[in-house]
Amino acid sequence: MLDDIFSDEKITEISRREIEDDKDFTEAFDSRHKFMKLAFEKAEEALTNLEVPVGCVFVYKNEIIGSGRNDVNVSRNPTRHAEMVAFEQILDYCKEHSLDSLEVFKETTLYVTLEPCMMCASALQQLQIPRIFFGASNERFGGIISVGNIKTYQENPPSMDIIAGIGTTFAVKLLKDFYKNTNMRAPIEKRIDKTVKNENNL
Amino acid sequence: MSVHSLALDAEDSPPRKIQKLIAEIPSTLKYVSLDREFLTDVSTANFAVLKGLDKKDIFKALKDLPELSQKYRHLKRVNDEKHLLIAPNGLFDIEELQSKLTQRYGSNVEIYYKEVSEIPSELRLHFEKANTFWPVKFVENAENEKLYWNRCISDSDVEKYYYLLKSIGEEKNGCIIYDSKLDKILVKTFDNSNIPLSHAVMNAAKEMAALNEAERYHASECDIILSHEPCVMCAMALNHMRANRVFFHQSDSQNGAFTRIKLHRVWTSCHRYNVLKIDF
Repeated sequence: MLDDIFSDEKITEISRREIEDDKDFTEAFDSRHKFMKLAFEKAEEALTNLEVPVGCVFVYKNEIIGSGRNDVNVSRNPTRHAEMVAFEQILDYCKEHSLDSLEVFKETTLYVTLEPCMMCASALQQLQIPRIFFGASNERFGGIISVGNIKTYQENPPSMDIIAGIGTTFAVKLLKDFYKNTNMRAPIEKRIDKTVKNENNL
Repeated sequence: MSVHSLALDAEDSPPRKIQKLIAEIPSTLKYVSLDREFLTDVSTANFAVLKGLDKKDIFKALKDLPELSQKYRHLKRVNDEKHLLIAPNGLFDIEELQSKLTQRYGSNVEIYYKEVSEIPSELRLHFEKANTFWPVKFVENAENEKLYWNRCISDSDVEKYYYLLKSIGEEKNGCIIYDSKLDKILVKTFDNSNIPLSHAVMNAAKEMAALNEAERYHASECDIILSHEPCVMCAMALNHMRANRVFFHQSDSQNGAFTRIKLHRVWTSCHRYNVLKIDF
């Protein structure tokens, strides 16, 4: 499945800012394999914890300042998506390093395994995140282009570089594993729980 | 109406009735549903109409003419003067038709053109206007009338949701999650402008989770009352929370999710909730 992250076959340019000789974008694009791999590790961690397998990392000046994966079920808070979990880490990071978080967000790149939902996409836009790399698109909640269109969320929205299609197959496979309940990495007790529940439902 | 629960007090203070805290209900208070829009102006299409038919020939002529297309089924075929609706202008060779009809029904028959309502009426208001052009079929839909005339919430709720809104106060953007069945405020939160994305709704999601009510799935069955129209992030957060209805007062022309882009109408493959604007 790593091959899928390293394959450029499905890469799609959704939007690009017109910046001449954009070194930040080039650097972010060239680092896509390394950081997407880490985002997928977070997604796998979500699957292990019986959460919808989506993971992300935020990179500022070539350093990961926040990462996250879905934490909806355990927290009982349906807004605890990977991106939202990572935001809180970034706020802590900025506090620790005495940085202005609003300035940091403006220079931060997001790598995420699934197209951000409308909630997260709007959050990214409000924080003026300049670059987003994601894996598969999300036909049900996708907030970049699939269901909602990020360009419509604000009056005069900030422009962004948005690239899709890095690790598409892998991202979909993880989701399928989750919804099929064939999660072999789950702790055994939890696996049994789910099976019992399913049988009862029949 | 029970309003004890509307005052969210510390446990050691006696319950207050919120009515005493606020001014009277403004006479201009209304609830506008943003769930759908209705056309109230009548757009028209040009139709060929047949006149001069003998009364006894009307039924026969109706059988001779082709049926109206699906699009125009809202139009009646015959008007009070016993003129007959033929078809949209341009669909047939009128001269040819005229000569055929003359042959069959006599030289009195004549084709003329008339504007008729182009679309079916969903509101009585629209129907009454449409009818002045050419008779149309219409069955009143009570739900549509309620939505259009802003009677989409019950009379007792009109006051209740106004009090809830007022209890947020004027100073900050606030959010109330309210269980209407229990008549109980579950959480009441405000935004924190010092923390990025710390909007009232996001804070409410956190507090709702902290309540840890085993029975409830997020905020399902709950009404949400907001002092301000939510941004897309918060509107979608409320969707993830399975909100039942969302009420808001101040609209936001720059970032608002409902008045600007009608986000709630793109939710076709996931949960969706009704949106009402409280105006006064």
